[in-house]
Amino acid sequence: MKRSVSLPDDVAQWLDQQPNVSAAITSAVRVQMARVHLDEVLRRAGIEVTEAGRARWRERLATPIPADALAEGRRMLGHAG
Amino acid sequence: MSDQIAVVFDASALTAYLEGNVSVGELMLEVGEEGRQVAIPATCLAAAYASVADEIDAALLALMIAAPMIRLLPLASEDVQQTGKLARSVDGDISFGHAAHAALTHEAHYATAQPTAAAKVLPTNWSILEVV
Repeated sequence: MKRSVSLPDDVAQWLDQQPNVSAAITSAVRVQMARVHLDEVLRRAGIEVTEAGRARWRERLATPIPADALAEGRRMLGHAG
Repeated sequence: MSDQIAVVFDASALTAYLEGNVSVGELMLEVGEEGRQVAIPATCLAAAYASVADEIDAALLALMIAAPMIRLLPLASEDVQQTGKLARSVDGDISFGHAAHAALTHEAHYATAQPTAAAKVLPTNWSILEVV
């Protein structure tokens, strides 16, 4: 489906640098759609997130699982490696 | 990470969400914004449904699992034996076994409100994210 939209200069310049403009727009819009949905889910559960809390998880998520633990996990599942 | 699943939530993490635990929401939001997924093993969801106080909590769970970054994981027939074996160390609690199996399979972080029990079903030094 084709759409014609007007964009601010900075957004247009960023899009011009993307190898696939349609894919870049789709990805950005989907992130926003997910964010809106999740905000509603959390609001209904009475949860107010904080930037400090998110930053804590960002750091933890970026920390790899130790190699020895991964190896033990593969052994437990009966996989080689 | 072996795929897009960043974190597995066990049943206690789901219960924490129902109790309004802020860190559960922050973790979901962060995973979603990274473009990755939170896995919820089906037995953990069933255990959470079994523990809810009323239909409002049940509706909150239904709303949560409809969030775009959530992936519900069924218990596949080929995984039943290993799931049961893992559960032995936590008095046969199948939901812990299923969550651990999912974390090992996807090489994902394990989110829980019961880190001591989780440590019993996971390898030493596995990444356990305590939601408090």
